[in-house]
Amino acid sequence: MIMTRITSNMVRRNYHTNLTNTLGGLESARKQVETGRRFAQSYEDPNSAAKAAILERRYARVEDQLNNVQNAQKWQDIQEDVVDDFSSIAKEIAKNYSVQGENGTNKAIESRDAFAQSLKSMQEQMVVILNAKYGDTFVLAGNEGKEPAFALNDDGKLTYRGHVVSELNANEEPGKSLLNEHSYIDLGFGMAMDGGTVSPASAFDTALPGIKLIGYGTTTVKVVDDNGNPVYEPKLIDGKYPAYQAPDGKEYYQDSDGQFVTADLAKVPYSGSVSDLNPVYEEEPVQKTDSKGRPLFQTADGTEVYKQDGNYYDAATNKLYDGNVSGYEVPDPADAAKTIKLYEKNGKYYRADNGEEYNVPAGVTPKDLTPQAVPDPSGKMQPKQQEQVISRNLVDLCGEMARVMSLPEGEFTYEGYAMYWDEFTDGANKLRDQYAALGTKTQLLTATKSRLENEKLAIQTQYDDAVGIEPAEAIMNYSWANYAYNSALKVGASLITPSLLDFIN
Amino acid sequence: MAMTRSTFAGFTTATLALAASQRALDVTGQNISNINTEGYTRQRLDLASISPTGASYFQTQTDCRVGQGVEMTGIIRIRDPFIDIQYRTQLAKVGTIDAQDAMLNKVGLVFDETDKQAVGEALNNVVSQLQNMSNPDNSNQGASDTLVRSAMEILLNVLHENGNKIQEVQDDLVEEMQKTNIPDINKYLQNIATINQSIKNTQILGGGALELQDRRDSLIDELATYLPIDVTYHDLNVGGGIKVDTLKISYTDAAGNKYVLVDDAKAGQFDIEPKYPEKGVPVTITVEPLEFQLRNTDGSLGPIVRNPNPDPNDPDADTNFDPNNPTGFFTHPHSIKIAGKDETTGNGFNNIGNGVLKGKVDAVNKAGSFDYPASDFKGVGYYIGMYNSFVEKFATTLNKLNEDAGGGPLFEKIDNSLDWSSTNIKVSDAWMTGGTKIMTKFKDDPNATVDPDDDDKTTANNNVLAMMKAISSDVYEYGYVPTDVNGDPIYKLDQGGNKIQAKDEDGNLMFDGNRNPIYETEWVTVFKGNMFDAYYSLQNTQAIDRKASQSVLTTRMGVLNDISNSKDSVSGVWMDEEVMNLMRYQQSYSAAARLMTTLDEALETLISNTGRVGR
Repeated sequence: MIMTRITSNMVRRNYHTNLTNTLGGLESARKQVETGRRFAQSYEDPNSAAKAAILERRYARVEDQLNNVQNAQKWQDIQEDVVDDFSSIAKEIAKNYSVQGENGTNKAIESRDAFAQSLKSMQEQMVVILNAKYGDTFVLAGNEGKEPAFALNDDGKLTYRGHVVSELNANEEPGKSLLNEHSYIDLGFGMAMDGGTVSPASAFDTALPGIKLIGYGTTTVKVVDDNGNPVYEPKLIDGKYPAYQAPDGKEYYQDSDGQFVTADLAKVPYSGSVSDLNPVYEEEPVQKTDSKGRPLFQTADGTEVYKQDGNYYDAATNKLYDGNVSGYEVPDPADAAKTIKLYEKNGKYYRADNGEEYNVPAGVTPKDLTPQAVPDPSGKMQPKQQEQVISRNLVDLCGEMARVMSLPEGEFTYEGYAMYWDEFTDGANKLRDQYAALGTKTQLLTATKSRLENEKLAIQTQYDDAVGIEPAEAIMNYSWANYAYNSALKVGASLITPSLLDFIN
Repeated sequence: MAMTRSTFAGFTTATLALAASQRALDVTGQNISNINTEGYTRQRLDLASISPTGASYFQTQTDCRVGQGVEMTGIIRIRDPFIDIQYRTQLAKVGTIDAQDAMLNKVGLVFDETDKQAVGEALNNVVSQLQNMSNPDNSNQGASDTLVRSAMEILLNVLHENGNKIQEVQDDLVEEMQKTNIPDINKYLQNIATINQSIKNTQILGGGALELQDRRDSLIDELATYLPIDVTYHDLNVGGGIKVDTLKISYTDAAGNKYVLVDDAKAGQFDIEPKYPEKGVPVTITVEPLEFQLRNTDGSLGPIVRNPNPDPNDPDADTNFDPNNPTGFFTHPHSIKIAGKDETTGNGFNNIGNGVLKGKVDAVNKAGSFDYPASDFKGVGYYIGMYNSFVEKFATTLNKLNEDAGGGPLFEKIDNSLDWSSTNIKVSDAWMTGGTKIMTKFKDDPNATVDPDDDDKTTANNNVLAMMKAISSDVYEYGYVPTDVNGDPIYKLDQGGNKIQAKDEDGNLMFDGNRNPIYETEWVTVFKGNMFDAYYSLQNTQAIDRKASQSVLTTRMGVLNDISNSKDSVSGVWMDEEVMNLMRYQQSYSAAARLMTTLDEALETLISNTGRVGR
């Protein structure tokens, strides 16, 4: 190898290159100190830059979700206020109006009228409360929050978005949809959607259709007299005349002339004493019970079940019944007048008559049926107790109570009033359950808020790890770069001047 | 018996010695003077001793003849041709990566959002406003709709701005090539040819033309940053026993075709044609060489062809050139396309090989996965393609959600005859003027209870949630429908090679407005992910590619620096050495003068003092 000649230009060029590099290092160290970031352009650290971009996005989402939580809390407050207001009215009615009503039997129509007026105005107040607003939106109006949802129609019945509330049914449209309305917001639970449907656990549901709160549909109550004895359904002749039985076993009825005649075409007049005639009642089979006296029902697939704590159990095995108790009904495609009974298992429908799988045609929604009571095999019959269908929502009930209160003397009965009052108290208790449910949601919001705040901090930390630089490290880097640069400059000063020339004379 | 010598012989020797030292000092002076001259090659005076010549009458068995002094045989440049080759090869390599790195740097200025707020932030803001709208008290409310729309307008502004900027990167590169690089290359070729002539003329007159050669070497070095070139030297006998150097510069492209760019005093040239055809192949580069030798399809080299064009009167020009050469690279008989549009795929091709020109052509002509078939470099076209694909997905997805929900489109093209792109999108006129709004309710919601035609009442927000999800988490495929050389879409074919008619969502065959069948086209997926990922993929791709190019550039610069050191070590001026030479030649000059004095004194003894004994 020939000895390398170290030429002046070579030294100078290399010096220049190295000095440029050192200055570049100084510049980037300076930027680190000034910006607190490890890099200024993503190519310097593509991995961290990509990570930082994702963290920035997550941070923005968490901030959005925090805003949502705060808004949902205010929204929730309004809902709670409504339930609160409603509860105090319900409490007042429960406390004051049951006693008043009880005493009412002995009271004059005038004083009952005053109570009726109070109940009436409380009913109107309830409607106002139900139409509570947050911002411009009616909070209990489901998905049509731009308009007040509740109103009383001409018959004094409560309507929800134009539908009579007592006519709504959870299993049939429109009630089914109205009760199923949701308004989800993203609180960072990993919102999942299929089409327009949000999967419930993945987001927070702010919707509270008011009918859920105050009740909907009707219920059937057995009528009793003021002494608590059952009132039976009289057997009617020609659909209008109550039937009576004479000691000889023949049935008579009182015709339009006030005469008791036999219920057949002969219309033979009754000759005995009227006091010997006993009213005849409609009969129904005695309901079959199991060994413990629990009434049995028949499910759509024929299994006999009993009800306990809200669940149905197979009477034969005492195990929880896993099928659909009530069964379904669809129109028979072969004959529009007929229906096919179905039961459902594991998401599939089977015919109740032969157990074959049935493919429900598109566009057909199987109709939900109520479970059927099983008749006692002995074939014993019993008189049928009179039933009355009454509305279940608190507003209608309050209206009914007002109506009963203002009935003329003689028509007003304690039991007639108590029927509505009991149902009202029941509904008011359910309202408390809703209140508890709202409380749970509020707790969830509070917990979510603190989780999101923690997450915000965690993201900040991760972000700092990805792009930030410790001030101490940055300053050390800078000092080192500065030292290197100064040294290079010093070397340069000694490198450029001297040559052999400086040492000869 | 001693030899006889001419009385004054020593004086000639002394004169030659004086002259040699004097000339050596001159050369040292020249070296020192040019220590800072760019491209200067250190010079050296070549000396030879003059041997005693002729027979002697007085030849004896003991030959004591002495040489007759020193002869200056010439002044030469000290240069290692092998290092020159290494240096120029490396220059071209540095040139390629430097050009690519420069492009990536510019792309980074557009898409790198590490220390600035642009599209990423605007997109985040859109999602935030949709989040805000999803709150039940804000759903289907005029104010929140306006807020979303404003966020969209801001987003579109930055989209436009970035769209223009990335197009500028492309346009600037083309303009640089057109206005600077190609004219520079042609100027270098022309200047080298001119200097060749000057050197030849000087050499015919007996001059060394050393400085001219230095200038020529500098020009060749400059040329080498643009193209991978070979330099060969030939002796040319110009008669009268005089030989001169001639030089030939040839260039071999990536396909192995050879082109002679400079031959003695003649030069070929390059040409550039900017084009913006449908497939985004912006530039065509052609070379008009003096002669060329193309590689056949089987890999063998074809015949050497003299190109008649640069000098139609050249008697050596091969006029039998066949323009229908099977390689098909000829646009016309005299110029050969080395980069441009591939005639079979319509993609950009680049045969340049190495150097700044290759780097720049790659940057404008190649689009990586956005070429069909994919090319080996992600040039500006890749970024434009990916960016537009993101914009198209954004616009069409949100439009569809809003239209499916019974509203009008939220976005429109500015120019309907063109595809969606970052610069061809605006907030729809209907949305701006209140003709449509964000439809907050999903229309085919199975639980629909709201009269679908009565959207004013609804506070349902599931369509808002769907939009939010579409932007922030739904995964889409980003890519393009590939086109053939004519810009027509490439269709999917069944096993029998027939086009497949497209079907809609319900499985019905699709027809266009004129009842002509619509066929399924091929689709190339370049990226799969959510919209944020898609946009940030631009930044990530740029970052990864630039990190690589920086690392390659550093390595290649290091090698170039080493070669420069070797080159300097051989050819550079070393001050200490020259000062030492000053001392040395001064000494030798003094010694020669001393010789002269001594001879003079010796003759003085002979002439003046001989025979005067005793006086």
